[in-house]
Amino acid sequence: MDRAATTAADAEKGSGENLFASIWQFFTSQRTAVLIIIFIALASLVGALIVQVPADIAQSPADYASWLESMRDKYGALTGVFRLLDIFNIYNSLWYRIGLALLGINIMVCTVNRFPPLWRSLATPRLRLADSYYQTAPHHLAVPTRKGEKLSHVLRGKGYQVRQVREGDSLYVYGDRFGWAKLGSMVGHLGLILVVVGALWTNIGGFEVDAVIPEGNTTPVYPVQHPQQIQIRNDKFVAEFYPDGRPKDFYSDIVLFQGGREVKRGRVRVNESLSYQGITFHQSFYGPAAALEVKNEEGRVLVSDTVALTGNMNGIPYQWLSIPLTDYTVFLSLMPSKESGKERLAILGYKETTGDFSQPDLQLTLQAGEAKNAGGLQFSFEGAKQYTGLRVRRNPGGSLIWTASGLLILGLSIALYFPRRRVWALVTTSRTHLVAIGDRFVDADKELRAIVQGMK
Amino acid sequence: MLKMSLYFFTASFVALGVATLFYLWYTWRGNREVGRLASLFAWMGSIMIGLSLLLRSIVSGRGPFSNMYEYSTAFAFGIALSYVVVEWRYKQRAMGFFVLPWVLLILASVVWLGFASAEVIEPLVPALQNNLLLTLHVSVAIVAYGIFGVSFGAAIMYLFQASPKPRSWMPTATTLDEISYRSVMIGFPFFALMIALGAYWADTAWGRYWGWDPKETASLVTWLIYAAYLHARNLRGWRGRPSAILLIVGFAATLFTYFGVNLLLPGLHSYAGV
Repeated sequence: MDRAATTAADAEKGSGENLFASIWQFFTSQRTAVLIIIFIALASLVGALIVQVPADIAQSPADYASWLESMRDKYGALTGVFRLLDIFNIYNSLWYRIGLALLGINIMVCTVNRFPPLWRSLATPRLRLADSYYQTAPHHLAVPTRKGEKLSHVLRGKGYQVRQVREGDSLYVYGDRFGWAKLGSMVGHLGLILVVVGALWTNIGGFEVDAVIPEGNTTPVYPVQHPQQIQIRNDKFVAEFYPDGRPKDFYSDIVLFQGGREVKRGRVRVNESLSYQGITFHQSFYGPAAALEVKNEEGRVLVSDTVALTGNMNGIPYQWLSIPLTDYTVFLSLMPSKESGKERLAILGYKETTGDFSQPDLQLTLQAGEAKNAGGLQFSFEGAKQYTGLRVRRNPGGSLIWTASGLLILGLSIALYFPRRRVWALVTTSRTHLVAIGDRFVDADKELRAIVQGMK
Repeated sequence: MLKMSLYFFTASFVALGVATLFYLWYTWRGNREVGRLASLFAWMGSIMIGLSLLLRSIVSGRGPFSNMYEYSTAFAFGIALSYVVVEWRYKQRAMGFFVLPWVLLILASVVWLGFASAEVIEPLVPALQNNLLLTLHVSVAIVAYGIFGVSFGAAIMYLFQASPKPRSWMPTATTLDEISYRSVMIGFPFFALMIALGAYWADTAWGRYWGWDPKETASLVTWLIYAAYLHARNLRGWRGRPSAILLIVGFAATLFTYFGVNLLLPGLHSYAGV
């Protein structure tokens, strides 16, 4: 290899290292940290002020498009710009996540960068300073006594870890108080990172589904059948209200089955969930349901079910239901009544073959306990019931998140409540020189005066 | 007993009003006797709001944290108590005039917005029916917000004092900087604990620990601003004035988290409305 090529290769290698070094440098700077934190704070603030698209709508492009149209009244021409910048879905946007990732990298780089010198200062501290520094340091004090042992004793009494070295006639004493608290900052930052790791773990390894179960019905947890399938039966749902109409309490009595066997039963209410094999069942919402039976002319039962009316149009609950073995799709809606038990079920039926949904092919209204014939089918409404909405989830990162939050708070508290202070002393034949360094607002001079006072 | 609680509320309002006037006088004239009286009234006022909240809790059998009246009064109590403790610790009476008016403002807003809700004990919606977590979550919040209120007062004074011509009757810029920094150091872990407890509660009640609900997001933003402050203070270019401004922004965010979200934005926390 000729000389020019070698130099070029060296230069390249050098610049590669330089690039890495300058990136490292960039991330070790607290200035970078402050700027990233402010960026994330501003972005989050925008997300709190501007309406965010609900998660279920964001998943379907068509729904999202129509949702955007509805936003146009409010934001006008800005709507397009907001959509491009993901302003309506900030917390899931790429740039917000890049911000979080940069902060994570920043924290890790800072921690890795600071740990070795911190460890050295704890494990193998400098026991002596340059002799001249004992008289020029910002916080120093000299007393005309020679009481090395007494000094160590006083320092230990004040909670300092004391070490000393003798050199000729001079004695060097070093004391460190709350030095270990410096590790608190590391623990706190580690906690913060682990919180995020826990959240990611839950996002990737966990699941979260809403199960809508009318009273008396059973629903599988997973949409796909498998042998260890867990099924939930809703035996009873109860909602109680205060006189002013606000909810007071609502709960469901549920039974869990696995492989056809009952494995657990219990009551779930808000603030009291049920858990089985790492899966938790939370009472989340509720709504009306209609117990309906549909027979054909031969008396064959086509539908015998309690149908959850999960839709809501101007306060009227509704649901679509297709009737098996016929080409009818019916629109069920429950007409409210002041008296409970007097609700009426309105049924509009449409033939799927005609594809015409402008005019119903059958139409009837039933009271509880009533049965009517229409379109060659017999509909009987057994009465209004309720469905329960359970949130079923597996949250594998949960315990990590809570442990990490504990670490975060513990580390922060230690780092912020126990400022480190260090004292170096040089005891010569005639005098004792003291130097103190304190973190933050430790009054180093006051500390020195107190130490000298104690030596008397 | 509920009546008693309201009497104490009114009495504390008056006492803190008198204290503020005395602080103004003290600030103006530097009369020590007046300063002592101001402190006396500030202590009385703080203790009376505390008693008012305590009596209300005894009646309702839970922490006083479930509607605008209750938690605004608790917020005012947090700031007033943090203030008198800091005053006692640092012997800086001149701060009173910069902190107590905010307490008065909050109490006045309580009277204006939500006094109707003061005379009844409202029942709790199901999500709030968790006495332990309700009390822990909100009382930790009150401590954090109260301490941040003091750091805010100190930051405003700092901006006055960091000028070329500092006022001789006010604490020095260095002292103010120290007070605000220490306040944030004390309040910051409490704020983190408040968020963690909130997330834990959301997890128990709703089956999710974080949902970017406006209140959750606003509290995160507030926490991040104070985190930025703690880091920025170590930097040359950010020391002094920029840090003080960050603290003022931080407290604006605190107020937004506390009131703004409930009053202006819909969300899961809005049940704790006016």
